[in-house]
Amino acid sequence: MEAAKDKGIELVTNTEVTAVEGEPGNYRVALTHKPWYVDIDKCSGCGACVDVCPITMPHEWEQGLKARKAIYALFPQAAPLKYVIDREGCVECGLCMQVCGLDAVDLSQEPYTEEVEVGAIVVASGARVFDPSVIEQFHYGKFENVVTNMEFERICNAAGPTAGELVRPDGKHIHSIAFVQCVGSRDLSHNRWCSFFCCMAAVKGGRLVMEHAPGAEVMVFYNDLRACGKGFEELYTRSVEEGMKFVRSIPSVHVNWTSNNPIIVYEDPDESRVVSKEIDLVVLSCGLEPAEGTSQLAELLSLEKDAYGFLAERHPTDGVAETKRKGVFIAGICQGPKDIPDAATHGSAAAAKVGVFLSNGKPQRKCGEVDIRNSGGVEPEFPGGNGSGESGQDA
Amino acid sequence: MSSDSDHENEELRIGVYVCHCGLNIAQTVDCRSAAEYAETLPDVVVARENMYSCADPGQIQIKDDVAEFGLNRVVVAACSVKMHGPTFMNVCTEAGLNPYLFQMVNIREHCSWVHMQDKEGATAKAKDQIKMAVAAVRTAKPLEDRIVPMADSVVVIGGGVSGLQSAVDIADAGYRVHLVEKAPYLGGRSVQLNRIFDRMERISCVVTPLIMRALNHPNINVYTSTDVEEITGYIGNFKVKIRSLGRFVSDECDACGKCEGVCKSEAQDEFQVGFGKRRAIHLPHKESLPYRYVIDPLLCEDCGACADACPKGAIDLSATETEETITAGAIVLSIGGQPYQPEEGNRWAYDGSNDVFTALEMERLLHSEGPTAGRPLRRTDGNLPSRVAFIQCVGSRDEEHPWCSRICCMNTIKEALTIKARYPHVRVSVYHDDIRLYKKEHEDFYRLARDSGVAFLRAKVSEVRPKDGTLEVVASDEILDTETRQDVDMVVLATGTMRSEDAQKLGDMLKVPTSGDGFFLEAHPKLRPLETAIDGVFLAGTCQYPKDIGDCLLQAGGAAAKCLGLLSNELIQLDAIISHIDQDKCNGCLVCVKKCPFAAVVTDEVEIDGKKKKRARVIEASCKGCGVCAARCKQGAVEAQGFTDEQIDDQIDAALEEDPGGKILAFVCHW
Repeated sequence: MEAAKDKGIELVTNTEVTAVEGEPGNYRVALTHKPWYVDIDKCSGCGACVDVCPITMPHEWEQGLKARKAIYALFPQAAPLKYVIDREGCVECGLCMQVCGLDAVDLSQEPYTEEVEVGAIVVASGARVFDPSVIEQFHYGKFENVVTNMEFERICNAAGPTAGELVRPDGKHIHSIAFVQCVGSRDLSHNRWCSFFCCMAAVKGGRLVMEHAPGAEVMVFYNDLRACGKGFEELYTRSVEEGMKFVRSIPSVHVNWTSNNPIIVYEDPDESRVVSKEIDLVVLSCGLEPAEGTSQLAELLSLEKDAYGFLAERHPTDGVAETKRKGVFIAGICQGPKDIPDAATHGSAAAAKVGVFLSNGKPQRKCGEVDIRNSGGVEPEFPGGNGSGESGQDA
Repeated sequence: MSSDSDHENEELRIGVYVCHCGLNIAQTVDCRSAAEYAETLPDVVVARENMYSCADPGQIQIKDDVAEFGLNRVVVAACSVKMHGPTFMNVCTEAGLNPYLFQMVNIREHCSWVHMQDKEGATAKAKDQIKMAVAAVRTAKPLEDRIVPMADSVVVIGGGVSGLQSAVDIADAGYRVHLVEKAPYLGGRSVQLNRIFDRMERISCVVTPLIMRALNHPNINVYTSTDVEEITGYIGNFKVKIRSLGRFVSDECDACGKCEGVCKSEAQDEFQVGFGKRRAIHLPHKESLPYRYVIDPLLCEDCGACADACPKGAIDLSATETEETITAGAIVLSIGGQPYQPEEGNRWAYDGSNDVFTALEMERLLHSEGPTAGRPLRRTDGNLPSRVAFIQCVGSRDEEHPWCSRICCMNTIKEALTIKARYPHVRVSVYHDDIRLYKKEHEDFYRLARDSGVAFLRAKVSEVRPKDGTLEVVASDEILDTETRQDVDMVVLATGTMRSEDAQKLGDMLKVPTSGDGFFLEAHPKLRPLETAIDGVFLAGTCQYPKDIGDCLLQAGGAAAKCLGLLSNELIQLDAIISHIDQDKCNGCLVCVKKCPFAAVVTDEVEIDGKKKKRARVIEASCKGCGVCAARCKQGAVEAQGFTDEQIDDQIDAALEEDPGGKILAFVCHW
């Protein structure tokens, strides 16, 4: 919302970068705007079109847990809130055109490319979540009551497919739940790195279940519980005290097809025996991996990838917000998994690098002439003066 | 006629908007009924419900209604004013309405979320809140935002890696930076360390170039051996009073060391964490920058031998402390942290004289410029150990220090690998709980340590017992579910990180709050990790939470970005919710001056009937609008703008008009 309102930011969505030319400080970037099939200058986001659209399709934002129409906005707080038509599903019945009071629907739109000139580029293209259907022991994709952490986020979300009611995909309320950590992560057969955010996400998810359904049983199957961020250890300790059960074990998931419940089978380290337990829902804490198209993006921008396939930073200690290409900066999980505070910090650090790069040492404003060090403690006059003897003159 | 009375005579036309927030509110609160109720309140001309008032259609609706119905007051019942207050104030401004003729009530957290099981009660409470907001907005006055000048310089407090990075980034963009460091050298804790995980580069390869850039930067004034004495002022115009030790040794010094040879006074060398001694005149460390000798004034006996011995005449023992006050538009706090030091009688048998070491001591042992030239030798007999045990979470994740220090697992892996690489025959074991790593490359490093033969034991150490020249580590092994005992020659404690000893002092000076772990508290744990509750004060590095060097540098860069964003303006806008003191009503009791948590109320001397009297005055730019002064004033001389007594009285009347016996009413924070 802040970004959408900022007058210094032009928000260009539904658009892909298709070519980058030029040199640091003077890049020409080709932006290919995909058609919305809706004139977004006219669309007010009222949503009348959605009501009349006869086509339903799987809802990618809701992780397929809910349907959407062929004309849709991904979620109600999307910025900008403009509707778009999915031509894969649209049958061109024209009902949306008839109902739109603003005459905004325009099926004749074609993709078009425009070129923008910029001084610097920040890549913040994100990552994707590991697909656990390749690991057979969890029955994911074959049995509905095993979900990924992203699907579970939507189940927990008040604006999600279940309206925030904690019910599993078959509609039953959740009273017992197991989180399985490191799915596809720290695993030599899949992704060998740790994704870091998933431990605390499981603790948070478990707490939500305990809040919504008092007395609910929450189990977290983990390897190392990586609560190493500010306040994380304290939240983890409190969750243990409040009854969340942490089991250091890697389980497998079976199915009771009669009750439609998952059965979690694990070695209980406390009792040194194998336990099988029927519960309501299994959440697979899937890690992050390089986003689809990372290679193409790297090629487009002449960037390197690291040993894991993420975009490579210039240096892992003192060049984490930069790339080896001057004028191209990097932020967030396209560089490697992070939690939100680390990603926000990374973004700010990239902003500083861009600011410095574009300023070329010249401040953005008039600076004072008085050097406070020689002013004998006399308060300099405002505005303007304050101690910038040399600033602005060195560039 | 003033514009104020214009407003007073104006016919009130109030619009009320009740937000569903998807189902966040609507699942508990009956929004339709709340909106219908609002329409019955006096002077409400339109009341509506919206799916998302904050989304574009909701905002457009308000603007359209202002135009269509001639609204001159707006009430939104939605989420937290902290979250979306600015959004709707902006909508009011865009609609041509003064943004302070607006009230917002939080029916999401305050009604829907806390009363999820009681839909009727939640709806009734939401209606009361709306009624109160309508009452308050009736007497709201249009206010003007404050405009204050922004100085074009920044003070960075702390010259470790974080402070250096912030300083260099800000200076590179063309602004003046004053970098204040307590120690006589730059680089802070980092320059005591040996190598950086996981690439095993020498610290100095990263830090020395950064220090050189700061020292040589035309836009950076570096103050070493300097303490912050006092900070006053506010965003745009902070006054930072600093006091520097006398410069006994001038820049003429070329570190030839002749002075040190004649100096008689000795003390423990703090840089080498107690290994060896240093003289009163000394070079803090071999790569010390600025590269010149310093004199410890507490130790120096003023004998003058060093001054006589100096071939450059660089030593002046009569130098005195200097004090100056620097103006800054913003402040970066980067004072770092400090390692936990085991107390006397600790269960790890650490006493500084046997073969139990802290992680920092091990860094010095492994450092080529350290006391043993990089060899991890035993303190007791100077021999290389053949069995070393690392113990994790010492001073972390315990009752007294419930936080995780984040960096110690990787640091241990690094030290263990360093030992293994140089002395492959040394048996290294690590006693740990969880191994906590957090970056993409860490896992490979951990795997390398295991492949190199470092034994990772998931076990809790209950005790270390000195025993005939060796150390017995007693632990309960989680995997084996039994007590284990192992004799080793050396124990290394992975000591945690605690807040700096200066955190309290600087926190008090700046009114920057700390979190439960003692580290400085960021403005929002997820989205504003670099800002503090105080406008214009930013956090960089370990003073916010333990971090590795890469994360320190990132956060410092981020803090620099925040400073640059502020500094690019010659004037900045602050909101109008502040206190105003009517000096005619003030009786000079000055309770408000004492109680103001932000030092924003000052004492004026004014002449009344020929006599000098004391009267309180608010420094508008410093005022945070907390209202403490207004609540304390017995004379009714203080008006908290936006929260006037009249508005609060009207809200109380509105809330308690019906069923007063069945309600508890509290005015708490503006949240």
